[in-house]
Amino acid sequence: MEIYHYLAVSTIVFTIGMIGVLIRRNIMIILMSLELMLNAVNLNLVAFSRLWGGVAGHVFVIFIITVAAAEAAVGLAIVIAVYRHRQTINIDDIHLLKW
Amino acid sequence: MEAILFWSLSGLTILFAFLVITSRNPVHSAVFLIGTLLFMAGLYILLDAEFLVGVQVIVYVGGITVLYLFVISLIVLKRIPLESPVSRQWPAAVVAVIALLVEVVYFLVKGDEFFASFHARKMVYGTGRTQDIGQALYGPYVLPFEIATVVLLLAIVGAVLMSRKPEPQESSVES
Repeated sequence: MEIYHYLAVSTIVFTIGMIGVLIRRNIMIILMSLELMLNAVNLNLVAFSRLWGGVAGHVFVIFIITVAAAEAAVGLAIVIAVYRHRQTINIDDIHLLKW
Repeated sequence: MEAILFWSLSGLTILFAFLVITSRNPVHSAVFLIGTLLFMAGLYILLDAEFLVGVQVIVYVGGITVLYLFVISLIVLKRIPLESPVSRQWPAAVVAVIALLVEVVYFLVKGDEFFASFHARKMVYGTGRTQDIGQALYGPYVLPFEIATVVLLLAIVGAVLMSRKPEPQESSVES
């Protein structure tokens, strides 16, 4: 398989994640869509790393997975805190900072 | 053989990713997310990245999605009404996605001679050897590696601090 196929899959998954972030109201599913976007970027990096024959893409993917784990932990902690205070995880109801 | 594997894996990845954002129940979304990540790991195998397959399965499937499921079960689902998959904000979403599509197509067309250099190269085999990754992590990438440990420590502290139950304002309990 050529690299175009992998890039096409990566683009499609990234776009699906972006649509999910934009149209869903449940904050859990928005965080899952963020994970989809991060995974699309990882696939891109691995494909390019194999094209150019280096190991840098793999190292980048490991760092991205590390940051994704940190992001998931902190994001879900924020979700729990918001749910405890406002009893909702619908982002249309979380508008304290909105005028 | 490789073509069959690639097309089936990529089709399943895209299908499950689509199901993640269209299912009404967050639990179903989390399970479909697990499927997406596993099929993505299959694509990594096709790309000769065996170490990343292990990392993906252990960290993503075993760690992050289980964390999502824990949080979903902490939040009582009965009190959350099932939402419609499409919100009232979908026209803006359509505009943003069309903008992204136009950008990608523009770069594909304008970057034609850049992509033409790909034709000369074939994919290199054997790039993802675990030994090479380890030597790179502890060699030229040792500073980002150390910073990643600090990021993880901060994430642990932040998660514990924010998800902890708020203490009552005046504690009437005398010991």
